[in-house]
Amino acid sequence: MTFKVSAFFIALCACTVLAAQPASYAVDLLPAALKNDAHAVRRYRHIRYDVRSPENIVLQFTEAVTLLNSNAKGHTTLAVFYDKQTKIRSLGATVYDAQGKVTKKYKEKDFRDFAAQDGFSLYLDDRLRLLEVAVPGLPCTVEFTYETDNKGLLTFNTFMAYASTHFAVEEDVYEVKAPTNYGLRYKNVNGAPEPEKLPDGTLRWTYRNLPALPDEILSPPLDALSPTVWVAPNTIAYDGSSGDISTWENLGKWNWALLEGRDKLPAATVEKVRQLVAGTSDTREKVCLIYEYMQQRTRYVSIQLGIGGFQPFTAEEVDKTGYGDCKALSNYTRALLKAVDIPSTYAVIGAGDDRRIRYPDFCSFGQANHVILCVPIKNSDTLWLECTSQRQPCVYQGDFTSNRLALLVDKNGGKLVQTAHYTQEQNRLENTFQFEVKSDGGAAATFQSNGYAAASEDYEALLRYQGKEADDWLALNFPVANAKVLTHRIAGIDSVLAGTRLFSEFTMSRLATVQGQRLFLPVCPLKPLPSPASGGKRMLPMEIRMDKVQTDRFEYRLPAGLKVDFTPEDKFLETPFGTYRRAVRNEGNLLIAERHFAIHPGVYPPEQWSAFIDFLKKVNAADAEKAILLLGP
Amino acid sequence: MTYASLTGALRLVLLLYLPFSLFSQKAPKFGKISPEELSLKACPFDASATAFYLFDNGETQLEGGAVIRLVTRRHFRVKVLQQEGAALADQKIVVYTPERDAETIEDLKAVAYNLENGKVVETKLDKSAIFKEKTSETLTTYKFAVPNVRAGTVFEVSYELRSSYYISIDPWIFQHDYPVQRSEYQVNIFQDFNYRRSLMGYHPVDVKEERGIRRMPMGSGMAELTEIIQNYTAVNVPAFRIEPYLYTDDNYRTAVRFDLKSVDPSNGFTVKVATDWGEVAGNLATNTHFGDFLKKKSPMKDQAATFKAIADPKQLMQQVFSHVQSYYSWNGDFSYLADEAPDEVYKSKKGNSAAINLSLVSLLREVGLDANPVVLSTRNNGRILPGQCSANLLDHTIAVAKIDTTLYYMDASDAFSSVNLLPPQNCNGTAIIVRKETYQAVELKQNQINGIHSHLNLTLDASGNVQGDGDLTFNDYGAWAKRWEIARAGSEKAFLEAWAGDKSGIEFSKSTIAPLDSNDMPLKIQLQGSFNGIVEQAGNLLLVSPWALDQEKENPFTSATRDYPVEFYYPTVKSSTVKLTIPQGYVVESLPKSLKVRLPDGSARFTCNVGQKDNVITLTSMVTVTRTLYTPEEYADLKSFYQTVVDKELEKIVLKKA
Repeated sequence: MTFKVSAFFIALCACTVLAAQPASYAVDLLPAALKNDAHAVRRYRHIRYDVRSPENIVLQFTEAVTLLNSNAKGHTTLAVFYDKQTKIRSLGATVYDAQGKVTKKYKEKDFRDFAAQDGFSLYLDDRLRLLEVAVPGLPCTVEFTYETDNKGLLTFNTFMAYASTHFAVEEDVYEVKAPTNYGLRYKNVNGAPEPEKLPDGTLRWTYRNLPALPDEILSPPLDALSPTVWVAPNTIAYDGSSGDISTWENLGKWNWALLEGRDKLPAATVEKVRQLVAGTSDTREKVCLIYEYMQQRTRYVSIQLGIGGFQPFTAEEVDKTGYGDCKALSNYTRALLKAVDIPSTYAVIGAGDDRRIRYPDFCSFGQANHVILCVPIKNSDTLWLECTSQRQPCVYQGDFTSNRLALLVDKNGGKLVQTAHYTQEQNRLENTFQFEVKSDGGAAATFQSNGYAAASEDYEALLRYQGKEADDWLALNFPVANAKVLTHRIAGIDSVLAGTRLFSEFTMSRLATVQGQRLFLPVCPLKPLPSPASGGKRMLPMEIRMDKVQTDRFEYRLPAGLKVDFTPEDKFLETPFGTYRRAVRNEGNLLIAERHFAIHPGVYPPEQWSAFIDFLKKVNAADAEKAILLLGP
Repeated sequence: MTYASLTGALRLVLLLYLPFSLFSQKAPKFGKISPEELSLKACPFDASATAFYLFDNGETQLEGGAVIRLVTRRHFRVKVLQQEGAALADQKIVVYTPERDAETIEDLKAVAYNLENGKVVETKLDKSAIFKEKTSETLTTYKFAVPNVRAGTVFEVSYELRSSYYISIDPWIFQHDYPVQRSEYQVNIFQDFNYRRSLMGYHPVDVKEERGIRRMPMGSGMAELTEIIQNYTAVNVPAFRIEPYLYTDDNYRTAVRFDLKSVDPSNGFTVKVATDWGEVAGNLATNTHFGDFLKKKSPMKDQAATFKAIADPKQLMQQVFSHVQSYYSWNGDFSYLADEAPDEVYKSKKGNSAAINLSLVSLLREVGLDANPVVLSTRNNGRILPGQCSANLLDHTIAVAKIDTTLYYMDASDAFSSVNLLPPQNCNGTAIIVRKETYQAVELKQNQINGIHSHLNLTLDASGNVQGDGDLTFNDYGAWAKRWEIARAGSEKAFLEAWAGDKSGIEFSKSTIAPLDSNDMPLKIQLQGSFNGIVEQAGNLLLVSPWALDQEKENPFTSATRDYPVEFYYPTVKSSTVKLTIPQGYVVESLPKSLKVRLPDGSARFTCNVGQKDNVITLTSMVTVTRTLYTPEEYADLKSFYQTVVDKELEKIVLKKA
């Protein structure tokens, strides 16, 4: 993404003025431009890393944030995370009123101690010290300071200007001092300035007077907009493991050292998988048989302890306990495939919407968060296996990890490659509706939906839920409003790409509204697309991530005595954001509407926002158009 | 038969030793798995279950020795049918572990059994794979994942919980998120401890009771305890599933609760338990964070002087309430005891719910009004059942003022509530007004309604464009809810944008909301704009969807059936009036027909009237729902009532060019 964000920011300059804590946090000293649309303003932040040696890094942190209104309440919670590699040397906080006078001071003992929860792990050894400060009234300023000793760091905290939207920055300083042979690397993105070099060798970056970013729907994630500095060392030392991570290749070598030798399996399991694939000579089939065997035998449990955050359980352990996290399960699957002489590679990757390896030219921790398995197949597409899922089809790489860089890790070190990419045509949803229309406006109907690749995930919840839970989910997510769903069946479609087929029977009490002798029948009775209000002038770019095409066919069988009086004209819309086509025709007692809708992914400049909203509104209006049927003799 | 003194004297008496277990079936032994259990393919009473509890058994009794402990032994066994059900293998047990007298878990065991090639393979949970997490200063969580669990596995867990809080019996939950084939709980209650037992939820629970005498080591000798042995059994308990419009789910999950009523001191136990609310009130009167808080002079006594000038008591109360509500900000904690002393709360302008409302009571009293605190349990916390003194459930304090003979309730911790408009979470059955010498049990109900009234004037011109102006007025709970929505949106502007964005085809040229700073006034939104989106062309006809401002587009109830009641926050009265002026050159082809429907008991009504005079069409719609609780049996009627409203509001005004 190379859209121009820097033009949006006022004066980002690397000044030689010494960064210093302001004399007063009085709120009326804040420049007006920073209060605009802001809930909170960072008055001053100073982050300083002092690398005394790779096993002894001191972090000093001070941050003062002025809370302007009650939306800034989150800033009253102060927390510092620590683990067995970190020791907290000092901890404190001070609260100032609107005039900048001290109203309360907090000491280390005021911070409570908790176990950290990440929301998905069974157990981690991360902990945190937490304090909720009392606020004398708004506006006020909260200042937080701490110092930690680190027995080794994997990465330095990224220096990201914006903590959130509606957050302005007055003065923000980041310093790293390291011995010349330490090998410090950095990368400035999104308009972050070059650092100054101080006489003692410290590198210093400064942000000054950055106005708050607004909350706008469909804007790119904060880390794509905010000026950010990534800092990483060439070598790391952590929990007894050390290595060179100056390039992706070297990081791969370090990671390989943690994996090596952990792929031994018990003889019984080796025998089992050999027998499993004995009946076929097709490699792809063998891989899928083994993948499915692994899916049935294991489940995902995340336990992250120290270097265990990077080193997987051995294959033997997974075989014994039947569980593991993404690293352990991928390594286990690799071992199973190795037992039948199929080579595969452990692949480190950034998964989900918000994480990916963004900088092939800058190696650091923090860009990846997941592990999958890469299985190249001769004369065919590479298979990328998601080993934590019991349901994922073998042949399809979901959009959790598709369309991005992965770091292959093997004895040669690390290599960046692209994962699978599915085209818009491949991500296809094909819907067919058949309605038996009644003269009172009601209808008995069937719905069939075939979804391929990314579109196969639309109804995948129904593969997991059962009974009433599944019925309730479908009733809520049915494509047509006010439908009474009677039955449904879901199954996978055997194809080169994953596919799911959903079949459902439903009725509607009011498909068409009856008024007098007329029935008004909506030609495409789908739930409308969400179309946000256009609001005022948009500041931020717009990002569309969907890359799908949807075709719908609506067949209305009319009873005797109901004649077609009017059908809407064909509609065709073409915009940079997507295309829409709808045509209606009448064949005897059958009324057929065909609809084609495609959305194009991309990042669009803010000026195009109202055109985009206009497009969605036009699509909704076209879908809602009515055919008129007459009740005849 | 005599009682042994529990304060030390030894008295060995030979007695009949009665087995203490009333288990109607022999309790399953750990490690003895039957082939039937392993080969089960489905839950016999829920075909869609991905896993279920074969049994969940518990036994609670006092055990002696150097110290007395309350010991609970639990043993449960699960059959996993499909992969999703393997999630039950991730277990956690939370125990209370303050610095002194921490509860402990002993003898935690878990084993998984799998059928492989006709043989049963056992996998034990390794002690090293049990993590003890220090969740906070007073809580510890034992976390573990039972190994080798997948579709077909049977696994079992057993452990012992030992607590020195031996008079406090934890509730036993029969109903979990997965079905339970058989849940059996036995509790040996020492005769001197009197509990009130409450059975919650819908599923039948069989209760048996017997008396018995048990010998127990005590100090350096033996004691005899006369006990009441209670056995609770529930079978084929369905999985508990959250449904929409269900806010107090803990009230419906089948469980048994034990609330200590009193302790007989004749054997040396000197535990003071409040036996009725009078005692609770008495204790609160001397509590540092409650009674003592109120004894101190209000830090706002200077402002009190200016308020005292107001003659009318109702106005005076209103002014005091508004002042306290806007002065303090709530820190998010519900509590019935204040977290700081009055001066501290006043200085920091922040406090928990009791701190703020006790400050309110203080100031009301200072200006001469008859005001008292009211203690209660909020909805999420569980319901205090009528006639029960469940002081352990108290989690909130609000205020009440009495003027003449009328009681006015208020909660200043909620930024948008007003006098006699309590946030719905407070309206949860029994609440206790604490007076200096006495108490009064009251039932807090939503006295007000959620009122929404809209007016819309639309003018259609010859080219099919529609201009409109109108307003919406939100009353009482309607205003309260909208003010919260505006606060959450961040600003008036953000709220209006989101609200307008919801209404497709409408562009507001002007819109205002007022008043925002006066909680007891209705909230009014006024707007003007183009409503072109409500008109569609179909051949030579124009179709107009008239309910532009607040149309019920979809039925809120989509599920076919319902297991638990439907809970609404408050009763609702919603009325809409639309006047549509059509231009010269157009005639009305058809109008939606007027309609009147109601539920059999009249608690929900819908009236729609449509009329025309010259070139003006007037439509009115009124929906009232007066009950806040509907039973599962009434669900079908309720769902169909809402469908009628949705269907009617979908109907169009059809115009034809003359």
